[in-house]
Amino acid sequence: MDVSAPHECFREIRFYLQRATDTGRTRNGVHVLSRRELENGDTQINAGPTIFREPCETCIQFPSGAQLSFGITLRFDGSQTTLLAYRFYLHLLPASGLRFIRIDLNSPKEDYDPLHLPRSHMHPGFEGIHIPFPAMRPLEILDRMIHVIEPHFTA
Amino acid sequence: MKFRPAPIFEIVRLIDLQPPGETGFCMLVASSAATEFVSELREELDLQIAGSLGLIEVAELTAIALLDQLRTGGDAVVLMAGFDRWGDSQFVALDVNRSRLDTGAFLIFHVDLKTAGRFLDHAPNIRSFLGPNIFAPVPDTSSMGPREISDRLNQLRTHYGMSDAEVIDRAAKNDLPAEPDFIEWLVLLGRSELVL
Repeated sequence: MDVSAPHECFREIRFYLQRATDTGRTRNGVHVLSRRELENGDTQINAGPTIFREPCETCIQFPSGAQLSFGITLRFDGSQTTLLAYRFYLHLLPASGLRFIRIDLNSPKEDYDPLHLPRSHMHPGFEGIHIPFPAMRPLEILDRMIHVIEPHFTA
Repeated sequence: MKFRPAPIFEIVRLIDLQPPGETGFCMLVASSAATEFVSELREELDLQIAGSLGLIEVAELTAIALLDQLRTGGDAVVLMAGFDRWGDSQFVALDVNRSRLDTGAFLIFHVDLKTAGRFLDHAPNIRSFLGPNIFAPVPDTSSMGPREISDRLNQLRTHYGMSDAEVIDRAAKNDLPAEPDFIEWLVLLGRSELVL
């Protein structure tokens, strides 16, 4: 998968979140974004807390009351970027019928069980259920979270 | 003179909000030697408005020659630098001919603090064009500080009931759980090399 260098990826996400706020899809975004870059090129990009807790003041807020947080880990060897892992956690309102949707890309281990624990998966409101989900670029996941999944549950 | 600190991202947001075809004005107050923001400006412009950045070194130009260059250039955004070499009369000449600044581009004047004062004193009409758009570019503040890193590590320790040493030990044995949180944990600790 072709992923931008970490600093470019960060800029792309920041601009994406700004656009989402500009168009009214979210109430905030840019100011809850942060990153940690290591000397070896590995980079963590976060929005919101590492562990979701209610109330989440540092999450991305939707007008509906839904909240989004995410964390993305990238590895950069000087020329190529690899997505090591990510988590996107969408907290839904009780009336939605689901407590949350979480999309994960787990660590790059070799011993995954594709039936019970595929590396790339979605939790449809239950921690123990891992539904296979294609690995995507961060902006593609955000597209689905912000423009497809959240509107579906809050319409 | 009032100016506020702003990261380049926010300055480019301002450019993005400018109605198409309308000339925009902005002054960046920074040392003449401070040029590191130019590459960041170029990258943000490329991403946010897909617009080109033109650079004009004005030190050896007269005000009229500068206006001629602006008229013939086709860049969406033009950054001008070197005004510290201008005499006061040059600023007056630029102000008198200010209508020729209306090129449809977004114009950025890069000046040091002392030159900013002279510029604004001798070009009061351009000063009104600038309005509140006088900024001191500051570094991006999005990097996690020690406190944020500490807070996030505390969240992880509490949630998983593990210490940093245990996480490092298990990572070294290739025995860490697969969840993305553990990769993040290692990055926060500066030990991501343990992720193979």
